[in-house]
Amino acid sequence: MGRSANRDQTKADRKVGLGKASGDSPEAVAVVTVTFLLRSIARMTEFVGGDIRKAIVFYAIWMASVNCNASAATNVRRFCGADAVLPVDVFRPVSVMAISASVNFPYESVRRYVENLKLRGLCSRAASGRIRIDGMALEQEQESRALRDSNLDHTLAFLTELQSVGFDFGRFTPGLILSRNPSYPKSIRAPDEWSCAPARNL
Amino acid sequence: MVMRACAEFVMRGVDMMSEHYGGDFLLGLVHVTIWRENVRPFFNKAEGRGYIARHERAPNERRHPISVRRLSASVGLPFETTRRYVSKLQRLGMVQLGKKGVIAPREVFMHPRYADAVPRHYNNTVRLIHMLSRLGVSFTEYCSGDPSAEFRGSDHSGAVSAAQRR
Repeated sequence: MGRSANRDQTKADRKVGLGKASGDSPEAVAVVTVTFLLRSIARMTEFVGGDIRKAIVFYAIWMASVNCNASAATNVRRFCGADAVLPVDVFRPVSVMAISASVNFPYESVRRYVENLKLRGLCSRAASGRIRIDGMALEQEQESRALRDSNLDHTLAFLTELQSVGFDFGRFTPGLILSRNPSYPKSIRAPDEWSCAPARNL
Repeated sequence: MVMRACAEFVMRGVDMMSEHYGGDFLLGLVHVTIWRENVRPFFNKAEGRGYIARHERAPNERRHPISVRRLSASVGLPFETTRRYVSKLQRLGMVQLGKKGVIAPREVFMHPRYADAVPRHYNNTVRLIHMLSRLGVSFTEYCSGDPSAEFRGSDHSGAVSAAQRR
């Protein structure tokens, strides 16, 4: 991600109406956020074998491979089912050069990290020669499942810590957000069950 | 999906650190870890809440120094690498090295260069929660009630893990 990405992020925040809630303390939230950030990096570092740079490269490939937004999630759910392993075609391949530019590491180092990740089966090369994460391997490997479970624990701890510093979760009920956004085309609109979020957890 | 949202969150944080520290993400990571370890002991106590309520930074004498060895274990970098980063930070005037260890002094974070760090970390969090809500995670349990009771409920892990499987 470049610097422009963060500027775009701020613009996007304004666009979707995300801003500081009246009861929030940004300083307190920032401390909790940094703690979660450091924990996440430490956990991923451990997962990829103890090299923090490799962890960042893996995160970058992961993020580039997956278009993480509600419409993608909805389509995946529609076509693959809730518990299905994501097919490899869902992941968008990305070039090593792009990864190198996004994490600001030398190309050759990134290439070596990618080769190492490939050997471990965590990412694979597409027909175009680009790299993408291997969803199948991530689902099947015991270590990956452990990482996922550990991520769950840490995410829950993060949410609890946010709650303890008075973070306002009231703005984020799924039905409210989705119903406020009439710009979604009908084809990618979230399924109806998302609108009744207060009644169920998903 | 939760993991993927978290990956994006982490990359935004990494990008932010990289930007604030002249493109050297690891330098930022070491500095932020020093700061976090300095304020962590009292952050969740009345003292920390007092500073936050008054929009003040904790005075240097109240910050808990961290040794380079403990810092190295905390960051996950080799001792020698960590020591070199600490020396670099010291040369840049971003940390103070004392007998008990290193502290990130309050003056550093008052520099205009870091003025946008807090709002950007805050926005990053808001964005993550927004994304999780769009993925279907409900935060109704976190809207009110006793925070310590959150982990006692057995249905919470089910709530997020079902979203995480996607």
